Amino acid sequence: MSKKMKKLMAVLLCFAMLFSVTSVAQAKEDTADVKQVSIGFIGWGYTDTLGAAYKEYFDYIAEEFGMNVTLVAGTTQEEHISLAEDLIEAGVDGILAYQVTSPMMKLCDEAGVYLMQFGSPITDEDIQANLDGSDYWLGTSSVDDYKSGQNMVEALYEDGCRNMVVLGVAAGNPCHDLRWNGIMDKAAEYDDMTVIGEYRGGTAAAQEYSDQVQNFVAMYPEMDSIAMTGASSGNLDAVLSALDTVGMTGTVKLATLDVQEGTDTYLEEGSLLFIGGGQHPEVIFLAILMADIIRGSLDMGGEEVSLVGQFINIVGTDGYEEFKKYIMDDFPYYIEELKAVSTSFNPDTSYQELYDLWNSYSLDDVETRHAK
Amino acid sequence: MSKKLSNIVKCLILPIAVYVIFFVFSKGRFGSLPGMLAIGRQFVLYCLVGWALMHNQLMGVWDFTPGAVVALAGIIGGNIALSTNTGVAGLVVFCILSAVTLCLLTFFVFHFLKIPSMICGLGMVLIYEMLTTQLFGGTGVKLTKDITLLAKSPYCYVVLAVAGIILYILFNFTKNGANTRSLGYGQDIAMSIGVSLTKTRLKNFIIEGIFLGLAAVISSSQRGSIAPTLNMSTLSLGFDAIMGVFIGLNLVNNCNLVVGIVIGTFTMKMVSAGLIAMGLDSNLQSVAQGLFLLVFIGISSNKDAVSKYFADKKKSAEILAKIKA
Amino acid sequence: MEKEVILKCTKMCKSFGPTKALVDVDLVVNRGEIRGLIGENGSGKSTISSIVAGVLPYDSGNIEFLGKPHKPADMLEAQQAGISMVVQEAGTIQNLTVMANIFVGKEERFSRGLFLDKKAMKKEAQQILDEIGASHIRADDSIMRYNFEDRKLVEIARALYEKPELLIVDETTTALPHKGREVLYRLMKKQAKENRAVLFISHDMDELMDNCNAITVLRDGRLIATLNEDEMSIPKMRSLMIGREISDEYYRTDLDGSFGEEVVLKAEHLSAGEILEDFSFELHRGEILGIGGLSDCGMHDLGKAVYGAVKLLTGKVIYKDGTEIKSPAAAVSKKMGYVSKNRDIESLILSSSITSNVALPSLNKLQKGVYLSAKDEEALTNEQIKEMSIKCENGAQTVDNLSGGNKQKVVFGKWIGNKAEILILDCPTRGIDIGTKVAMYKLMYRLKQEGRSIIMISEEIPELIGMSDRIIVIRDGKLSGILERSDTLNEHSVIECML
Repeated sequence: MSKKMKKLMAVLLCFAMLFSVTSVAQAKEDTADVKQVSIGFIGWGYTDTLGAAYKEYFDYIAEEFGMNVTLVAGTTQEEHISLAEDLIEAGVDGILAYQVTSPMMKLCDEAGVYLMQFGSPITDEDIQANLDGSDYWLGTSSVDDYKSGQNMVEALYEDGCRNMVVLGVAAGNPCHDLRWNGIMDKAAEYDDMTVIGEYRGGTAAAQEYSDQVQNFVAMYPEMDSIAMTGASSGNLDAVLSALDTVGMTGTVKLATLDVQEGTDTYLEEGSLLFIGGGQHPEVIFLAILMADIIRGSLDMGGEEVSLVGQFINIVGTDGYEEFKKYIMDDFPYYIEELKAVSTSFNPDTSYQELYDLWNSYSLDDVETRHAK
Repeated sequence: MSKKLSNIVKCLILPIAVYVIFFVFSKGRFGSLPGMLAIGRQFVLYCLVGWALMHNQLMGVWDFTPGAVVALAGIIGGNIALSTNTGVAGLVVFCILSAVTLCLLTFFVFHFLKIPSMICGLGMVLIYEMLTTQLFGGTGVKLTKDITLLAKSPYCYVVLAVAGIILYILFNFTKNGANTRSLGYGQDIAMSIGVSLTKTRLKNFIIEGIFLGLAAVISSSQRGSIAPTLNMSTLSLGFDAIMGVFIGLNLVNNCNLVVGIVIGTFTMKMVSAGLIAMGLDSNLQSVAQGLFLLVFIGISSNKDAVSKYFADKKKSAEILAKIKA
Repeated sequence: MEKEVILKCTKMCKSFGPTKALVDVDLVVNRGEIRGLIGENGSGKSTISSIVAGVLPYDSGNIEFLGKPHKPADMLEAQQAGISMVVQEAGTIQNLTVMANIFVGKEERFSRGLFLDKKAMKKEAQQILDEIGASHIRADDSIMRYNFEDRKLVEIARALYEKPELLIVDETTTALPHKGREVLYRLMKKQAKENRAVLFISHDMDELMDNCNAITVLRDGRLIATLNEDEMSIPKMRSLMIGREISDEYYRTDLDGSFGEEVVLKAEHLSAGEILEDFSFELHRGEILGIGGLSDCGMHDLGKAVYGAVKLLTGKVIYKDGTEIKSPAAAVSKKMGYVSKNRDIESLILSSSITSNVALPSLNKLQKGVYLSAKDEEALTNEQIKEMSIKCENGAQTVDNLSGGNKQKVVFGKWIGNKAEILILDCPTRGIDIGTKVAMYKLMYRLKQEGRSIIMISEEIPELIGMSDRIIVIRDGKLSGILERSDTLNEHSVIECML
C-alpha cells in the first residue's frame, strides 16, 4: 500500500475514533421569538433508553424554546472536563453535566459560562464549597435515586422476598451509587431480610451479570430476589435470560430501574416485579431554568436551583400500559405546559411553579393532564 | 511417574488448587454440581473467544477486538436471522459471516498499515463499537426465545465440543497450524525458510472470525439481547479470554495449547464464581481477582527460578561439604 | 574428464547501500567438489552463499544452477531447485518438535486432504536423522531437549533431506565441537562422493585444507583466485586473502612466560553452572592466563563467574584490594572487562551505534554531575576507532552493519576505552578473519606489556599455546593441570590434561 493511502487510512481511523467517543447531536436552529441560548449537554451516551429519551425530548423542545442544544458524551471525569472545554470553545452559554467537578467549574468561571448538574445532587463537600464561591454555578436537579433504591427493596420485601442479591455498576457513578446505598440501607432496616451476595460490574456489564446470576442461583439456593441498580445496556435481558436458563423465571424476583423494551413481557411472566423509570423530563426542566436565567428573565437571588423529581414505579403488571402510553410513547410534558412555567415565555410564572410541576411528577399526574 | 502422568498432574494442579481453595473458604458453597455446571455454561463463551485468539496470540498479535466483534457480529447476525426467519441456523451462519468479515477488516488494517496490534485493536474497537450504535437504528438486537437454544446445556457443550475438535485438528494437523507454530516460536527463521507470514496471518484471522462468530451466537443467546456499546466497554470480554490463553501458553510444555486454554478459561471462571461463593463484597472481589492474577503470573514466571534456587542450594551444600572434607 | 558445472555465477554484483559486497564475481562450482570459500570478514563469502541459497536477491549478473537460470525468491524455492544451506547461528525453532523443524515450510508433502500425516512425518524425519548418524535424536521430541550441537544436526538433516545438489555450509563448524564437526565433514564428503557438490565457508584453514578439493579466495567483494588441490597451501591462501604475505608467526614469538608478582585477582573455591566445581586460581599483573578444556568442561561458566555475571554456588572472587566481585557492576568499577563468547547477544547492543556501545562502560567517567556530553562520548569513540582500526563510516553507524571482526574490535574498544586493567576474554578470536586475529593477538601482547592482566578462555589449543603465559586446563569442571609457557609445550601436553 502506498504511503499516501496509509496516511489516508490513518486519518480516517482517527476520525472514526473521535466520532465514536463524542456522539454529537445538534438541535435545529431556533426560530423562536426569544433570545437564542446555546446549551451544552454532557451525558454518558444516547443509545441507551434514558439517553435516547433525553435526546428525543431535546429535539422536541429546542426549537420552540429558542435553544441550541449540543449533546456530547463521556464517562470519566477527565473526559467531561475535556468536553466542557470543547463546548466552551464552541461558544455555549451554559453547560448541563451529570458529573460536575471543581476543574469544570473553574473553566466555566473563566469563560463566563453557566453550569448545572443533573441526575444527582452534589454530595462532595469540597466540590460544593468550590461551587458556592462561583457566580456561574446555578444548581442541580435529581430524581431521588436513593429513594428509588429503597422502593425496590420495599417492593421485594412486600412480595415476600427475604434473600436478596444486589447487582450494580462499579462505584463512582453518582446515580448508581445512590441507588446502591438506598438498596443496602433499606435492606438493613428489615431484620429478616439478608443481602446474601453482591456484584458490581462495568457500565455495559450484561454478560457479567448473566454469568454471575447463574453463579448466585447455583451457589445460593436460598436466593429469592435480585435488586439491580440499572436495567439499561441489555442488563435486564441478560439477567432475566440467565434466570430463564436456570429455570428460575418467576421464582427469583427482580427489581430494577430504567424501563426497557420488553418490560411488559417480563412483568407478565412474573420474573420482573418492580421497575422504575420515566425520569427523563428532569433535564428538560433544568434546561428551561438555565435558559431563563441566561436570558435574565429569572433571577434566583443568589439561591441555588435544586429540583427534585421522582421515578415512576411499576409494580407487577399494574400501570405498565399507562406508563407506555403516557411516558414512553408520548412526552409527559407538552410544549405549552412547559412554556407556562418558563419565565421567558410566561413572565408571571416563577421558579416555585416550575419546581412544583416537576416535583408532582407521577403517572397519575400525567394521566390527569393528558387523559386520552 | 511417567512423563504423561507428570504432564497431566502439572496441568491439573492449578484448577484443582483453585477448586480446593474456594471450596474451603466458601465453606462448601463453591464446588457443588449445579455450581460447576453454571461455571461450565459460562466458560463456553470465554473458551470460544480464547480459542479464537489462540493462533494470533501465539504469533505475537495482541487483539483486543473480540468483545467488540462479538457484540457487532451478534447484532448484525441476530438482526438478519430474525428478519429472514432462519432460526438458530441462520443466527449461527450470519454471526459467523459477520465476524469473519470484521476480522478480515482488522487483518487488513493491522497487516498492511503495520500498526502495532494493540493500538490497531483499540482503534478497531472504537470503530466497531460505534457501528453498534449506528446499525439497525442503534437498537442492537433482541432475540426471540426460539433462537436462543444454544445458550442452554447440553447444546452449548455440543457447540464447544465440535468447535474444540475442529480447532484441535486445525492447530495440530494442518499446514497452517504448523506454520503458525513456526512463525510464533521463530518468526525470522521461519520466514527465511519461506513460510508466508501474510498467508498464515490471513488464515488465522479467518479462524478467529469463525470462532468469534460462534461466541457471538452463545453470548447473544445467553443474554437474550445485545445492546449498543461505547467507551471500550467490550474490552472486558477479551481480557478474560486473554488470561485464559495466557494460562494455556504457560501449560504448553505439559499439554496441547487447545487443551491448555480450556484449563485456563475454566480456571478463570472458577475464580470469578469462587469470589461470589465466598460472599466477598464487590471491592474485595476486585482486589482478590487482581491478587490471583499477580500470584499466578508471579508463580508461572518464576517457577523455573524457584526450582533452580532449591537445586542450587542443595548443590552448593554438597560442594561445601566436599571442600571441608 | 571435464567436470560437470553445477553452479555458475557470472558477473554477480550486490550492494548494501554504499557498500559493494560483491563486484563482478564469476564463480563456477563443479559436481563432486567440496569448494572452500575463504576471505576476511566483509569479503563477500556469506553474501554469495545467501544469494545462492535464496536468502538475498542479487543486484545484477547471472546465476545458472544445473544449467537453468537461478533467481529464487526465498530459501524454500532454492531448496526446491536443489540448494540447501546450514548456517552458523541457531537455525531451529524453539518449542517445536524435531520433525516439525526438519519439515518447516514443507508440510504439504505429508498432507492427506486437509490434514497432516504426522506418523509419516515422524518416520521420514527419523530416517533422515539415522542416515546422517544422529539416531540418538528422536523425531517426535521437542527440540528444547537437545543442546546446540544436536540442534545443528537437526538443521543439517533439514538441509540434506531434499538430497540437494548443492549443500552450502556457512561457517557452521565454528560453533560445533569436535564430534559435531566430524559428522559434518563425513556428510560433506559423502555429498561429494555422490557426485553432488558442497560450498564450504570457513575461517579454519586447516579444516579447509583437510576437506576441500578446491578453494576460492575472495577479497573486498572480488574473486581473487580459485586454487585447485595441487595449488592449495595455507600461506598462499593467507596472502591471497589479505593481499600481502603473512608469516606463520601471528601469535607472540617470545617464550618468556613471566609476569608480575602482584596477585590482581583471586578465585577461591568457585562453583557455578552445571559443571564448574571448587575451582581456585590466581591472576597476576601482566599475565596472560589461558584457560582451556573441552567445550563443556565449565570454562565458559568460569569466565562469567569471575566477572560476577552468574550466581556462585560456592566460593568468591576477590580483587587485589580485598573487594569481592559479586556483580558485573562491581567488576566494571574495579576496571575489569568481559568479552563474551556470544558476542552479538552478550557483548554488543546491535541496534545501537558504535558510540553508544563503546561509551557504555565509561559513562560514569564521562558524565559531569548529571550531564553527559555527547562530544566526550564521540571523542572516546573516535579514539577507539583509530586505535582498533575499526572499519566504519563513523561512530553513529549501528553495530549490526559491521563485519564480525569489526564488531569484535568494538567490544575490545569499549573496555580499552574504559582503561580496563583486567580483561576476561572468552573465545576472543571466534568467527573472525585472520587479519583481525593478528591484530587481536598483537593487542593482547601489548596490553600484557603495559601491565594489564588477561584471562583468555579458548577452545583452540594453538591459540592457548601461542599466547598464554600459563595455561590452566579444566576437565569436568575441575582443575586438571597448569602448564607453563616453554618451547617444549605442545598440543599433546594440553590434550593429555583435557582428556
